[in-house]
Formats: sequence, structure tokens, C-alpha cells
Amino acid sequence: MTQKSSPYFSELRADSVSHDVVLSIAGLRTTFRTDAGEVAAVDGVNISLRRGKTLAIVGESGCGKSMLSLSIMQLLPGNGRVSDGRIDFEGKMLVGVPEAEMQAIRGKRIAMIFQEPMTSLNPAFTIGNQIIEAIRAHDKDVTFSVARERAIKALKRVGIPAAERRVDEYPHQLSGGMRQRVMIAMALVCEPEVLIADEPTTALDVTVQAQILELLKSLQNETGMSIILITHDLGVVAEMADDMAVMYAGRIVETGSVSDVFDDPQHPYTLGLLGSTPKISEDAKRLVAIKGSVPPLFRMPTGCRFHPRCDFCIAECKIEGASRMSEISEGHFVACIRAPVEENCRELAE
Amino acid sequence: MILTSKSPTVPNGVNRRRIVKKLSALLPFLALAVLLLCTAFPEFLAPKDPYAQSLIRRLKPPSFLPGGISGYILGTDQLGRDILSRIIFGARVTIITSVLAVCVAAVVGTTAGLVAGYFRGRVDSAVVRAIDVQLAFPVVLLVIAIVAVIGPSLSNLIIVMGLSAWPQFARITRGAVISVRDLEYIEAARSIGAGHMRIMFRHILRNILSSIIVYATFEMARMMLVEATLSFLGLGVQPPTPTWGGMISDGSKYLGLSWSVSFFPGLVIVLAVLLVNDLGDRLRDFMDPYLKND
Amino acid sequence: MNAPLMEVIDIKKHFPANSSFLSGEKSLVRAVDGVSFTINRGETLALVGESGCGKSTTARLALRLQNITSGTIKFEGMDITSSNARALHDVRRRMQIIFQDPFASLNPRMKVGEILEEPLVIYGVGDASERKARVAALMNQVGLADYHAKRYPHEFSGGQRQRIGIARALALNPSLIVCDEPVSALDVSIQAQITNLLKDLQSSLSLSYLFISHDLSVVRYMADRVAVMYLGRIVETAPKEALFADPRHPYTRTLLAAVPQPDPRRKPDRLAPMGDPPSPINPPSGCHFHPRCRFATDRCRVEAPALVPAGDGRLVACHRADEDLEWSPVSQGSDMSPAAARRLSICAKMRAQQEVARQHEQNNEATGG
Repeated sequence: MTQKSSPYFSELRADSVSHDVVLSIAGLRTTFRTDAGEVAAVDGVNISLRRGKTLAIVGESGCGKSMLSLSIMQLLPGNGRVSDGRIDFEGKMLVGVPEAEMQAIRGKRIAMIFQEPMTSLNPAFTIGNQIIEAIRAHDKDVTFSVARERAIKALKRVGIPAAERRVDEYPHQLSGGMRQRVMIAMALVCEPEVLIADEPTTALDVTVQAQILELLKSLQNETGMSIILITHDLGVVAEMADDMAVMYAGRIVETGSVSDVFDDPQHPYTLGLLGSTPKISEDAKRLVAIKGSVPPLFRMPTGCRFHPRCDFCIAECKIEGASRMSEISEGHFVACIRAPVEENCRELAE
Repeated sequence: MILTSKSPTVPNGVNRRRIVKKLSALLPFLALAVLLLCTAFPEFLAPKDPYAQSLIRRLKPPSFLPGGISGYILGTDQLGRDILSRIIFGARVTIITSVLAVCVAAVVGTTAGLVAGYFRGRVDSAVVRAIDVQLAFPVVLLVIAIVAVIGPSLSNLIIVMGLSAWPQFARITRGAVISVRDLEYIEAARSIGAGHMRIMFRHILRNILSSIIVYATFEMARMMLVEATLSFLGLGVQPPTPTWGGMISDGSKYLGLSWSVSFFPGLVIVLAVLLVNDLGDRLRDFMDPYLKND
Repeated sequence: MNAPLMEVIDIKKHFPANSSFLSGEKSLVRAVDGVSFTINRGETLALVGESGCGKSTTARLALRLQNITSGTIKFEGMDITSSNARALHDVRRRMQIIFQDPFASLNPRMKVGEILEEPLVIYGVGDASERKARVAALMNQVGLADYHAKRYPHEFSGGQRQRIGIARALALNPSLIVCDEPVSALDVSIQAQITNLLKDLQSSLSLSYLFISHDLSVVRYMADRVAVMYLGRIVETAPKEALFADPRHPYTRTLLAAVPQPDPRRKPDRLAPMGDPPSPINPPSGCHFHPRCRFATDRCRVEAPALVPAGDGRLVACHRADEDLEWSPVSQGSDMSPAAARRLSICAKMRAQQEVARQHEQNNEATGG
């Protein structure tokens, strides 16, 4: 495996070898063949997931956060591939492992749940059958009746009432919240070490979302699994995550512990997200919106990719190297040459 | 970005393939042009008089085969008429009848389907019943029955063929209308005060028109075959006017003596049907707004 | 001009639904079951609730885009409940709608210019050149450029399409605009642009909004008054400040507590509701919320509470509304860290400076040219 010599790779590698990291990603680049040539949906991403903790990947649609998770699972669409970088899972390099080996890991040791629980369940089979299949896919020796018992137990664990009866129902007989619980039950039935949750509550009502988030937290406490939570909602991040990485246009622009990033947000994009989110706890006069929109993959700006939308943009932001990561405080990295902004715009800081 | 810039050295093979691809893309249009010219000016294109008979040179093979007569490129039929000239003249009848028949079918069927799908309720049930009743009848049988009663003339033939095909148009239109009528942009049109006619014709029809047109081209290919069938059965355009179906019918009696009399009109029908289907596909791509302006 | 712009009194919408395939037994979906509200001029009334609560149907009934089963709708003092098509046509230009899905609500076969011109054509506004000027002015108003008129909707991003939808709604100078979840399909940064735009348009054109949303944070930003719906009924309605500071209905409290807040130190204390929202085909007896309410009594299971005044311009439909029920309120005040607030204020100042510079440039151009 070739390593891309990234300017900040060495800084993060020290972290990734420390023993409490389950999954670490370094210099990951995922590219797609398109009519407009080869484009990079993920471009030089470094993250590490601590054992038993939750890492949130935050960003808007098109920032590459879903492609990042599919790269880990090696479930990329046919025209996509991981073209550079490494994914280290418990000392095992995932990039380039044969499909058969990956199948043994996928679902068993790294599981995934998706945004839309209706389309990720097969409408033609009972939910019980689908969970049993998930169990027997990784352990052929389990008999059908044992697997069924385990399926019922799994459904009980995610808080589905009357699990003995529900196990024989079809997906369309369940509400959206119940379906997402079934998806979680199915993902967790093999006791994975890592759960990737891709916008798990976006399609749900707010009261149901609250229940699903609580469920994920209590299951994490129970099993000690690590979670990669992909979301666009800063509220969900604040509530669920220990660490967070803000992603923009295929790159991580700011990463650190949740309290560091919320207390001391440095990157103008992180600030923009905070300013754009209306608050339920106070009356805001006016939201500080980010101007413009996310650039398409085949027309990425040079230098810092956020510069066309940034209020603090200067000429240096437009040249390569402007997106170099620097460590603001321990474990808190920012890819902005203008950070902290108050020091660079002193005349406006008063 | 590095990714967007194309490498300057393109292998020769790729270039050649591109040229071949471009040429083959032009081919159907060339064929269409020939077909339309035949329809419009058969007099100038046909090498011989399609009606000139000669018993001496009857049932000759094509000129490039042993026994062929020079000047009669595709050979002659049972009355010694030039097959190529008759095919060229036959194009007019075949094209005009099938185009007009499809127009009749499309107008009747689309209107019925639009009204049924938009208003639903009783109008819809009535149209659906009518479609079901007519579809229960084999088309050719229906046409035979009607032509037998009102007599075989060109205009009768067109109307009968057109009416035999309206149910498919109505069904396709109705289905498309139902899938479009509840979309938000139709509700948006209602919210800005658009009336039924405006919504039906400017909003709904406009969005389903491409599928109707594409279907119409396929239907046109089928109409060519129906026309050929009817002519073959002697219910179409009457002799001596040359039609492709009629020529196959004539030649079928002499297949043991000469294969070419039926073969070439048959080949032309196959090619014309393929051509029209191909044009239908292209039309669909062309009418897709998602492929425009990019 | 103190009469309300729109008055909706006890409207109902019942759909028949086939519940059984074999017996063909008909059951009734009470999508909207006795909803009343008023909208004053220049005001934003938000209709909040979870999916299936009937908020979107209510809005469509109010615009007479769907026929109501019973009730009364008055608009600008006129009873439009049973207006015929012609009378409705005249009213309709005064009340418009912005849809949730910016992808489905624009005709994919029409260019943006045509889409914006269509309402003008329908109502015979101006001649061709006047209409063209109006379309250009509308596009300018919502932040689109002139050349966008020649493009098809699919060439635009979600946020730009929503701007087109807003421009279409503005074309006929309406007094009321129904905003049906106008930002819930958009990304966070685009949401903020669009909500800001809606607020600016409201103040410059003195519009009234009926703002449909499931997102209480957006509602707090947009609304003047809020009505909370649950299974086809309004359970609480109050001025925004009162509702967010002191919600009275247990469902409102549940909703407020369920919203995750962007502040890692603020861990919510939730009245976790039991289970998912029930279906409107077979709603629970009595108060529809009782199976999920931790304060429910026997009376709640039998008797449906009426919507009654509870002070401060508030109406609540709860048998226990005046009791002091034990719950911890959602903490108020800014949840942003000082550093974030400081930097955002620099952002805002930067914006203001850039805006001044831009206007200055424009003025120079105008005087110079």
C-alpha cells in the first residue's frame, strides 16, 4: 500500500498507533469515474475512531461523508474506488483486502445502518427472516431455531414491543421508527465492534429521533461498541458524539473533541454551520448564513475549497497548501490559515 | 485541477473509432432521407416504369446474379416489372398510410387518455371499458371486418388502421397522466390559478409527450406491418398500385421459381421498421430536457 | 384593517379508506378534524407537528386546493368555503403556496422564465415586454440572475430552485403565502439563506405567512404565533414567546424536549414519549395523545379535551392544563460558546462591510454610467 505523503499525516499517525483506537483512516482518497473525468469525492481524509466512543462526521450533502463510510465498508458504487490512503481496523489494513475477507468483516465486525429504513429492508421477507439471514451469513453452524431465538432477543433489545409476534411481520407493517429499530437490531445482532450510522434519524419524526438516539447511546454503553455517526445536524452531534470531524467538499476542515469544537470553533465553515442553525432556546434576529452553495465535484476551487464562500478569504487562501491542517490545541485540528479569525481581523473584533 | 485536463496524446485507435462512431450515428438519418425522397419523388428515383410489364423478362433474378438482366438491379416480378422501381413507388403508399394512421390513433387515443386520466371518475371508467372491449379483438380481424364492409380505399384504410390502434395510445397516456397529475408542480399550477385545459395541455401533456411520441414511432413500425399484412391479404391498396405488402403477397405464389420477388420488399420492410424504431430512441433522448443545455 | 386576513373555523377533512380487501369495509381517515385558526395581516402563523398530523392538508384546505368536508374559510373578509371556480380564481392570486420539494414542484419541461411568467399570463397581467420585466424583477428579488430565465429547473441546486418557487409565489403580489416545509429538504447553510430571504420578503412586501414545519427551531426563528397539531387537531396555540418559554400541553413539551440542541453541555431531560405516533385511520379515544402521555388520567382516555383559552392569548386542549405538572423546561438563552458568538459577530460585521462596499460600487456605477 502506497502512502500519500500528506503534510499532516505524521501528526496524526502518532495518534493512530495508540492502543485505544479501533479504526483509523489516513490520507484516504476515493475517486469516481464520471463523464467529466475522474473526480475525488473523498480527498485526503484522516480520522481516528476511539474504542467505545462516538465520532461524528458532520457536513452537508455532497461533502463526501457518505462516500467516506462506503469506502470503509468497501461498498462503493461500481465507478468508484479507493485510490489512495489506508484504513487500519484493529491492526488490519482494509484497503485492498480480497472481497471474501471483507465479507467476513462487513456486518460481523463493522456494521452499518442507513437513513431510509424502508428501502434498506426487503419488503418480501419478514423481519425475522432478514435478521436470521444476517446471523447465519456469518455463522453457518447456527440452527434456524437458535437463530430465531437470537433474532427475537435482538428485537427485544432495541425496544420493540411484543417481539415474539413482530418477528413474523413484514416491513410495511411497521412504522418508520420501528423499522429503524429493526435495522439497528439487524446491524447489532453479530455484536460488531464498529457501527457506522449514516444519517440514522434524518427520515424520522423528532420524537422518534429522540428515542432512536437514546437507544443507540444505551446500546453503546451496554456493548462498548464504537460508532461513526454521519449527520448534518449539529444538535445530534452535540448530543451523541465524543469527537467530531467537520467535512467540506471531500476534505476534513476541522476535527477535535466535541467540546473543543463547539467551545472554540475555528474554521469559517464550522462557524457558518453554527450560525446557520436556528436555535430552539433563543430568539435570533437574523441567521448568519453561508453564502453560495457547495461546488460540484468536477469544479472544485483551488487551495482551500471553502474560499469562494468564505468571508475571511484572502489571496493566500486560493493557492495549494491553504488547506493544511494545524493543531490549535491538543487534538483540535483546523485547516484554515486565517484561524483564529479574531486575530486576523483585529479591527472587527471589538 | 489535474483531473479535468485531458492528456494530449490520444491513441490513433480511439480517434478512428470515434470517426466510425460518428458516421454510424449519421447512417439512420441518411436512410431516412432516402426513404423520404422515395415517398416524395419516386418518379425521379425509380430507374424504370413500375407498371411496365414484359412477359419475356418475368421472374428474373437480380442483375448481379447469374441470369439477371442489366438495368434490373433487383430483378423482375411475375409480370416482368422492375422490383426496385416498384419498391421505390411502394414507399409512398406504405409511408403515407402508416404515418396518417398513427396520427389518427395518436390524436384520438391521447385525447381520450388525457381526459380519462385527468378527470378520473366516470369518464375514466367509460374510456377504460372502451379500451378493454377493443383490445379484446384481434386488430387484423377487426380491420378485415370493417374493410370488408365499407370497401378498401386508401382513406378508409387509414381511418380503420388509425382507429384500430387508439387504445394503446389511450392506455399509455392515461397511465402517464395518472403518474403526473398528483405531482407537486401540477398542484403548483392549480395554485397559480391555471384551468383544466391549461393544466392538461401545457403541464401534463408537455411532460408525457416524449413517451407518446416515442410510442408513436414504434406504433408506426407496427402500422407498416399491418399495412403490409392487409395488402398481403388483398384488403389494402388495390393492384396495380405497388405496395410492399402487396409485393410480398404477389411473390409468395412464385417462391419456388424466384425468391427475389418477395425477399426484397420483405427486407425493405424489416429495414424500415428498424429505422423507425431507432429514430424513436433518438427522439426520446433528444426530447429529454435533462440532456439539454449542459 | 383589524379584521384577520384569514379565518378558518372548525374545518374537517375526512377521506374514505379501504381497510379490508375482502370485505371492502370502508373506514374513515380524519386527516383534519376540526381545526380553527386566524392569520392577521403581516403575521406568521406556524403550524407545527409530526408527519401525518394533518398540517399540510390543513394548509391546502385553507387555500381551497382540496375540498373540505365541513367548516368555514374566510379570506380578506370573504367567505370562500363554497366559492365557485370563477370566484376562487380571483381570490387565488391573493394567496399562494411555496412547496416543500423544490425538485417536484417545478415543471421539468418549462424554462424558469416560462414558469415565472405563467401566473402573469393566466391573470392577463401586462403585455409580453411588461411581463418580461416583471419576471426579471422577481428573479432579482429572490437573488437569481437574469440569465437564469433561459434555463431548465434541473440545472439549479435545491436552494436556487426553492428561490424559483418563491418567485413564482410572489408573481401575483399575494397577501398570504403558505410555506409548506419550505426549507426541510435543504442543507443547513441553504436553509439559513432561504429563511433569511423569506423574512426579508415579509418585511419588504408586508406578507402574511402560514408556515408549515416539523422543525421547532426554524419555527422559533420564523413565527409570530405557533399552533401545534397532533392527529388532525390543534392541541395548543400561543404567541411564540409564550409557547417556547412555557408550553402547557404535554405534547408541546415532548416536542420541545425532543429537539437535539447544538450545545454539548446541555443534555436534555426528556419526557420520552412511548412509541410512535398512531395512525389517523384509527386514532385513540378521548385525547388522541393519551397513550403517549405520562400525565394521562382516566378522563383523558374517554373525553376529548376542548381547545380553551389559558391566558396570554394561548389556547390549550388538555384536561390538566391548569395543573402544575412536573417537568423540567427546555433551558432558555444562548447555547453558543463565547468564542463562537464572538467569531460569528465578526462574520456578520464582515458581511455588513462587504454589503456596504457592494452598494457603494453599485451607486458609483449608476452615477458614473
